[in-house]
Amino acid sequence: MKKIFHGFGLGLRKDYYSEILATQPAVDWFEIISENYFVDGGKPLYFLDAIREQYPIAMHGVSLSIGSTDPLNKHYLKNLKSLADRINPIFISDHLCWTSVGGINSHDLLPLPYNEASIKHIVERINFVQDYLGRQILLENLSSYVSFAESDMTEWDFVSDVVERADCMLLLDINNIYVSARNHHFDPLDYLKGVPAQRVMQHHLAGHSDYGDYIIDTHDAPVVDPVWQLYKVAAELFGPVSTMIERDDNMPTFSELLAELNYARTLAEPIYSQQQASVVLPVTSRYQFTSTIPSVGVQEQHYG
Amino acid sequence: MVELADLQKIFLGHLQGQSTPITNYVTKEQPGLAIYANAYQQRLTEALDGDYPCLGLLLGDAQFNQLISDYIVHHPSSDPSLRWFGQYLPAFIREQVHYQSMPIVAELAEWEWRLRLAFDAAGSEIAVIDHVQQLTAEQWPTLQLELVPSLQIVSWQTNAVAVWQALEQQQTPPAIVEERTDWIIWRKGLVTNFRSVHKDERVALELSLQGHNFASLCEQLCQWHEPDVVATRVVQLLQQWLNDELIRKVISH
Repeated sequence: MKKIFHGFGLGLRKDYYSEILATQPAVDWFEIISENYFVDGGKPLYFLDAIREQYPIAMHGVSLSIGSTDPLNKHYLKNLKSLADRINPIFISDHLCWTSVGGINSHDLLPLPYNEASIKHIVERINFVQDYLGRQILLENLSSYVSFAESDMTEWDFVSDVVERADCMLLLDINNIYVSARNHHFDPLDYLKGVPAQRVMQHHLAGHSDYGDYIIDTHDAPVVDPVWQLYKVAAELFGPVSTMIERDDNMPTFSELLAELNYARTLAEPIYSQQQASVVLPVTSRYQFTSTIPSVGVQEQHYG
Repeated sequence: MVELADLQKIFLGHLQGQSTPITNYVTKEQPGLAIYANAYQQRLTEALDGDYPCLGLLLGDAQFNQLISDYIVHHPSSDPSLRWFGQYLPAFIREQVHYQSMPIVAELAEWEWRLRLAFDAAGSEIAVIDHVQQLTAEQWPTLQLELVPSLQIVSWQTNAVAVWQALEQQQTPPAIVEERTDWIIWRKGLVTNFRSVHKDERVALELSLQGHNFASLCEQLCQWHEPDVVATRVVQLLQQWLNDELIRKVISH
């Protein structure tokens, strides 16, 4: 498969619909929360279709519940596939977590014990989802606030095993690594060095709430400097990776978000430029990346 | 060793405020467990706050918070999308003894929910006046109408809509009174619309939804109109519905 760099994106939120259409800002792509568009009509789908005509779209879900012990929700998967058929997204992603059990949805991204039993369980379910969708998915690492006694490996070993064995890709959230590193007292650099570079397809960046002894991933503030520093390390380790900024609360003006995104560009692009002749790590896969949308990133590169 | 399914049920029970042995299975209890439990309540509360802003104003913080706390316990979210979490709140209110003597509470809640339904209901093609003007005299009696999917018809026993309008505009609401009113809600383009309807219009819309034809509408509306003017009234309604973009399709035989 090709590891395609799509450039720098932003989360598509309703606060910005009209401004995006009116000003056509210099954003390479937008990422939607998939579930927000599991509706029959009205403004959500109208604006999604209109913006899709101008920009590539990534689909990011929050309720796949890939780690749940409930059966996979077929109705949910049908909605996901219908939306993917409608907008032909550059990525379909969700989280390496569980969100529901016993038919009850927590609407939160809940952690799993990091052990072989969890890996086997999840890999089987990822295989089903990828077969159903006919394409690879990306799974994102969490921010977490508890550790389970049943865990017998590091989070990055767990994440790596899952994505390798399921042949899916990794949406590596740099802020989540920082949050979990602070909460669980590990070195975030160990995490970055511990995941398979060739599987890192996308990055998320976001702000959080720092309470001193612990951090909560709130997406309501600008990205902090230690996360930017980790992002630079990620750029050195993984090469060009499609990057977006998530903002879900305390919404700033669109121009402020754009400025933050452009800061990400200024950090990553010089590093990518120095890597022009770098070694390419191909990924073999039974899946083909089906997107036909041209990549519009400044540093467009194709791998594989 | 605990099975993953059991661990998840125990964890969810903790989020829901139940007494569970979750502390046996985590290596560091606080503040992590509290963060997850708070987030569960907060996320569901915010969803209801967003769906029922005027209900919150009508009840005041104390009553509204109690209502939604009870709802979260009795109706945990069964849909992967938070969009649908609040769907049972109007029915839940009607079940509460405390609110049975205050029908406006459930009616205002249902009104807010129905407006949400219209907001993202399916769109459709819209019939235009040309479709009707081309009809021959023989086609009129068998004429049938397909109405837009966003259309909802509701009847209230109170002045819930007047109260809602005042609250929505952050004005002092009128006194709550018993008042039988009929309303329609629909989406015109991207904009949610509503208006009150007379009893005859309500019946005509309901009959159209059931597939009755023009002749049948005229027959039924004779309850309110003399036979020699009833056809004029139905044509008048038809014109209004075309202007309102309430008609998806005009079916002529």
